[in-house]
Amino acid sequence: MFSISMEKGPALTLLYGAYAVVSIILSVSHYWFGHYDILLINLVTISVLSFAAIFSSMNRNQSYSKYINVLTLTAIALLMQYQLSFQPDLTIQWIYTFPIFAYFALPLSWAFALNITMLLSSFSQLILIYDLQVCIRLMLIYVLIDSCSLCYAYLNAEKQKRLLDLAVTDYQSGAYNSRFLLNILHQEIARSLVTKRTLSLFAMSIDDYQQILEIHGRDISVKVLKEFRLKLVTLLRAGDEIFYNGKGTFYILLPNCPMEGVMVLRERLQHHLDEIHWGDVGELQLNTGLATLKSNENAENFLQRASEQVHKQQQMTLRMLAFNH
Amino acid sequence: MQTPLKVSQAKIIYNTISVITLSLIAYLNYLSFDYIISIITGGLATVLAANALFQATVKKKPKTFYLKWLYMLLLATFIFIACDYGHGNNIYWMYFYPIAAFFLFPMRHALFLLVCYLPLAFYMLLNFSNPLHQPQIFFSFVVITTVAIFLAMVKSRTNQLLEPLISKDLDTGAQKEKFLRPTLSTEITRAEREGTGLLLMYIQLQPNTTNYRRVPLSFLQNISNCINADLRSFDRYYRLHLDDFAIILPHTATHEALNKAKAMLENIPDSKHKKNIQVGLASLNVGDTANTLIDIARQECAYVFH
Repeated sequence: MFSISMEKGPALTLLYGAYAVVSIILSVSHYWFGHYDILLINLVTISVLSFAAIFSSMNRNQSYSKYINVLTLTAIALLMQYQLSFQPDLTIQWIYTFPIFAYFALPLSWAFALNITMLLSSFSQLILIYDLQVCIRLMLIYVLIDSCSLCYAYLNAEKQKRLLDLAVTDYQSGAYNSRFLLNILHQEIARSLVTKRTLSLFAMSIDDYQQILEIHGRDISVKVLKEFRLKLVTLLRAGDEIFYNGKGTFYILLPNCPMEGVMVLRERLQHHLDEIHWGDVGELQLNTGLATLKSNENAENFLQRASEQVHKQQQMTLRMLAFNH
Repeated sequence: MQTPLKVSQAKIIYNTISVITLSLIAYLNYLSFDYIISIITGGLATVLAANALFQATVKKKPKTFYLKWLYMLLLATFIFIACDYGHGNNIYWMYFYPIAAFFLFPMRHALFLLVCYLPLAFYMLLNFSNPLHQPQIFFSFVVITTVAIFLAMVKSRTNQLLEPLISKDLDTGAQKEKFLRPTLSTEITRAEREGTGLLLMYIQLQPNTTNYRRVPLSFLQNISNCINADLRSFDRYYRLHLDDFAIILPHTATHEALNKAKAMLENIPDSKHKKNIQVGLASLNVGDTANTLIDIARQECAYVFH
């Protein structure tokens, strides 16, 4: 089947690189056609794009990498505005490429703000060069390209959001996500009321998961999460379901399992998981919490009770560490 | 907190902005005595205005694919005429084609349209634009096209990643078929461990038919609503083979399931498809697996309105 697809991070890096290469060819043509006055601006653009391509490829998983996109797009916008006073006829064609590029690289609100600024700034310069009618026509074309790009990007973002809302699985760990956990909790609580059987929830949090993410990057963290889930599957009863909240905490729903059973399970899981070496990350510090459904308790409270226990254990570990030091 | 725009609202707003912009451009062309371009731009604005009205008024949209192809053909013709009559002053119209193609079509069709459009784009570039501006216009065209392709690639990747994670069938609200066997296996394990009953109900809408025709979606939605209305919160139902349903009923005996089936089916509105409905039940026995339970339920199917 014919299908091409790419993740946004690598796509953006490749796009910066491709933009830089095409700009090099454009610079040669500018030199060839004698547009010496804008050649330097073009060379600066190539430098900016090349830097953005290299930087984004090296720091793809870092939280600050999105700011390089804002800086790159702002730099290109400034260069476009500067070039407008030298070669308006040529530059306006270059400016028309800006909206779709901005909506691809930046979040919608940032791209929108940058495009409005670009529109006003270009208009204020063009009004001094062309007569009003031509100036308005050029800006209307910009508005048209801008609205097409905005609508395209908005519909893409909405579809993605809708799919994310419908997804029941966390794509990083492969476990069910926290939204689905709440759904299942509602169902299981209703079932527990009918069957009069116990329902327990076991929470297991990887201590300092955020730190692991920052130190080792996304790829290694995701690998650890996947392996962790697979290990849990082998250690649990058939049919026990595993959920992940996207912030380093796994939840295991244990129907028909009383508190004593959950405590035995906790010991068993901790014993097995403590022995495992998780590649580059090393050993994992785990905090656990458990709760058995009380009468008249709703799903949210039940979940919160298990999560609070994890939080208390985290604080206790920190206190113990401080005490030992 | 701001409520995000619905997709249909976003489309209407986009169409409205485009109509206003195109009308203004048509007026400016009229003022500068470019009557033909003015008429064509006005025509394009009218098409978009009609589309906006259609989006706003008609709730059930027909899936007419050829209209989009016709629109792309019209757009290409308009771009050519605008560039021809404008003597290069309107060359910027050629940038819209790749954006429109990737906006309106799936990637494969958009690439096909783009490949078909490229010779025309080169012809217009070489014949209608100022030779000194040709490299810059070509550059802009390449950049816009490349970004549009990358946007489509990222969209395709996101869809590929997310589609398998979705459990619900969007048409009926039932769970998807691929989730039936894993859930049923879990329920069988649980029922065997706890020593409780488990029942699978199978609803067939077109049994033993040689002349297969899709059951209308509205009828499927009716059945789905009727099933959903009579289920307990921990019962789950699945849509199979486009027009069958399977329902997992834990802690249920056969007579309870029969009463439930009766209640569900009585609420279904009358239709020529209603009399074809068959229902089968399978109760969990020792040694049953998800597959055997589904097979038994399907074999047990019998007409309920005959």
